[in-house]
Amino acid sequence: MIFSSHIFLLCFLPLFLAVYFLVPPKGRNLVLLLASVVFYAWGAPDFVLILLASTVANFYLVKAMHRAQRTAMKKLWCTLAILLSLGLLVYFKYANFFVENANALLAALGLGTMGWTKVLLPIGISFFTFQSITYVVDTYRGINTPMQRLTDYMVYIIMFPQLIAGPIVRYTDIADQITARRRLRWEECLQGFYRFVIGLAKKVLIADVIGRTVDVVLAGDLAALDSGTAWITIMAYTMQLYFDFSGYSDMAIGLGRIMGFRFPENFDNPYTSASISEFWRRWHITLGAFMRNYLYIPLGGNRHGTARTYLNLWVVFLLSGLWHGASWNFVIWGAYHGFFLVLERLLGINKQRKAWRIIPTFIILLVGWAIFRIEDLPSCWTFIQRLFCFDFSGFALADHPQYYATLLVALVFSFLTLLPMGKRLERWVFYTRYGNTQLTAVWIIACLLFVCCLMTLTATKFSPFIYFRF
Amino acid sequence: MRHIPKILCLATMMLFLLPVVQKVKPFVEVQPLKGVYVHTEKPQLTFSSFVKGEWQKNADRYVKEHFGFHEHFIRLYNQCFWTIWHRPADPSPVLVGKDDYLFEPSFVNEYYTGCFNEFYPDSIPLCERPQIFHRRMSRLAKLQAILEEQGVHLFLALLPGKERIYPQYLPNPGPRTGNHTSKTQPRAYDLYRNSRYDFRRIDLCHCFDSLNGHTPYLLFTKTGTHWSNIASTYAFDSVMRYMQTFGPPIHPVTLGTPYYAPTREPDNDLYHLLNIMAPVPADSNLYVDVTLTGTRPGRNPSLVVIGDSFFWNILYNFPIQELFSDFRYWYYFSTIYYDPAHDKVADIDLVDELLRTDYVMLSYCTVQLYDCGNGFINRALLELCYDPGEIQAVRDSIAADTTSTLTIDQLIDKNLEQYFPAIAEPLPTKRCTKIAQQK
Repeated sequence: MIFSSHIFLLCFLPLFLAVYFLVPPKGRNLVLLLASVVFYAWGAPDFVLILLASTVANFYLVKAMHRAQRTAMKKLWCTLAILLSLGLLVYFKYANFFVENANALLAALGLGTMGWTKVLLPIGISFFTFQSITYVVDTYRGINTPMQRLTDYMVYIIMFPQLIAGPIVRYTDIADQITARRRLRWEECLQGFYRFVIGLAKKVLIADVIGRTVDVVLAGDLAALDSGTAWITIMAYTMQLYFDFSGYSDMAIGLGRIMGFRFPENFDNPYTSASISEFWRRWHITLGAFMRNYLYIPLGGNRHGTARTYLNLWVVFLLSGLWHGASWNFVIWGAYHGFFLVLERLLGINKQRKAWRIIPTFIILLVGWAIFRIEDLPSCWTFIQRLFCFDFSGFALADHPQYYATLLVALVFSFLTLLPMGKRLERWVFYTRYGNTQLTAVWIIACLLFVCCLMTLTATKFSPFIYFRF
Repeated sequence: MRHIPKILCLATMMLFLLPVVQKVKPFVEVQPLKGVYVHTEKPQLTFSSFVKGEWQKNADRYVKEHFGFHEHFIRLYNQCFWTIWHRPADPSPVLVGKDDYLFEPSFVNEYYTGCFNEFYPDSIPLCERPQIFHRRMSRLAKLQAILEEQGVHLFLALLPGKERIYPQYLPNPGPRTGNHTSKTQPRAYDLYRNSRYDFRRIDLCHCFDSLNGHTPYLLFTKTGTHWSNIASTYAFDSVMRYMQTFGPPIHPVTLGTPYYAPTREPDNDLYHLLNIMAPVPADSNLYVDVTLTGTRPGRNPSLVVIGDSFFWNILYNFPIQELFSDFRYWYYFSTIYYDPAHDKVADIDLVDELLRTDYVMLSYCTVQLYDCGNGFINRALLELCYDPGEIQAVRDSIAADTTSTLTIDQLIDKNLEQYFPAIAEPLPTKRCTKIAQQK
């Protein structure tokens, strides 16, 4: 089930909230757990048992780890728990990729190919795997004690707002919120609703609108594109991705808030970054934090000299690229970012923020997103060539005003916080505690936005015929 | 005032529940949406459909199409879009041309690139598509000759599309008007006009071309996709006169004096498809009434029309059921109208049906000409010349032998004369048993 679907907005969510608010605080985790199972089973019924089984197994492995007296035993249980989570991820997400590449290699060597039935990818596996790893590692490090109740742990792993696409909530950040449920506060619920609607609007009114045209252009003949169209298209995709992903995070954070949870922020105006290092502190913040805490630091971080630091950075970004998808373009995208990160450190660019660097950083990001979006490598290279051939001869603004207007709105919102007024607006919308008048005014705006989103979702793809055909 | 947050929260819950209330007990009037679209049936939950994810997909679609305010939201969205951008929202079956002339996308595509892509599967190469068209036209000539010897008068009425008559109002080419990266292909009407086919036909495109700009009425209204009410009336009057030059007489009709009246159906058919909240523009157009006059010529002849939706306009104006004793409309040679006994052409005995008919009119506009007959020509040729058992035997042998990606019908269309050699003769002499016995 996706948040921007009628079944979620008109059936699942109202029903869930009604039950959730009616039961006493003690029963809310159970309601949330059941709803989350239904939510997951709706989209991936054949994987729900795997998710539940792995979650239960992890819970008991960590319990055993916590009970173990000897460090060696603790380490063993910890390794087993991590291997279980990572094993599932590797099998479901990367097995096809590895077998395809192995077969290509074997075929090139004239050794035939291996037989293989393609494995389907369970939705959200990348996210719940990382969350279970934070649970194992944080408990191993003694930052937290393990949860006492299986249902509490299951709520942490498969809570539906962040199950599919994050934010990746670190166990230490949410453990207390799950075990000691506070009384719900109406203001919090309202602010959660506002945040949810903002996210929904970002997805439905901006990302989806831009995405439809981007898909059409990128499905066409890339070699025939002029540079103007290529740049506008990749800029549009850049906006689509940001508004889609950050919109989803906003919806997750908003839903969490309605239910009484505080999830970490996942985006902080990433396109206003003046360096790639800064971008990674503002884009998918929870993934960056995970990679730092659970990969970069265990690899040695910057404690083993400059060369090793750069190598660690590269490894982290290569794996981060692979985490985004099992395809070579993601690996190259990770390496591309890793390259610029290392370069910035070599040149000392990351130490001081200079506003003019926003433009070159943005251009580097645009090219990066082209690698990210176009999976077929020769097509991707063709597209990048079209970007830099500076052939504007065939350029004409397509007859599509809604696309350009939406793109303009997206660009304005993406860079608004560069202005002091934009900063103030952001602080007011997201981080101010509203008075009654503000609550009411924002409620009216949120309701109108919600109706606009529902209206757009309903009207999209509705195309009748004049007469019945046949 | 401290209760405001609580009140707003409860109001939010009410907001979520409003669509359910509207669905169960509508409190805002619901006007059905215009146009034809397929409704999703209420999905039946079974274990296997749930595990496969089919039930979930259908349930989501069902909720999307049936929640309270569905119609209102679509109209409101379309109206907002229309007001802001002065164009219909994507995806739309309507394109806005110059001076607010509305067009169906296929007519615009036809003008700019030719519509062969829409009518032939990708498995048939571009270079072969004109040959298929020519093959179909030459088979039509054979079919007409065979039917003529049975006293059945088959003819083709070629109707103009709006793109042909008013190209000056077409929208500019762009992403919404077809795939312009593909090579422009010949238009079916040009193929037809540049070839010399030996069959009976009336070319109303030619006739409309000569009338264009010289009539006090529009040949196509701004807001309709088909020929205008009045133009189609005059056109069919000409068709009836033409029919009587080779077939039995038809009850005479008189066309009254044209008069202005608010736009009638179906002259606004494209405007309705916009599904916006604003009412239809209160334009007037010229109309003319048709009345039966004179004496009936003995028995009324019978008529079968095979064709596209342009013929619906005729049915709005002419008392067809009174002019023809046995009228049947084989819409796209698929669905049957005006025949109480049958719904689908697949269920009829085609030979019987044809033999009891005086006139068979193939009525196709320029865009639909690519698929002229919609399979009628091949099927009629086969069933008039071969017995059902013979046809089935050949079909079975094709099915057993083929490794082609084409369907059996496509293969037969491609190699009809090879599979059924009698049809290869310039004028086939073999007849099915039913016709042979009649002789």
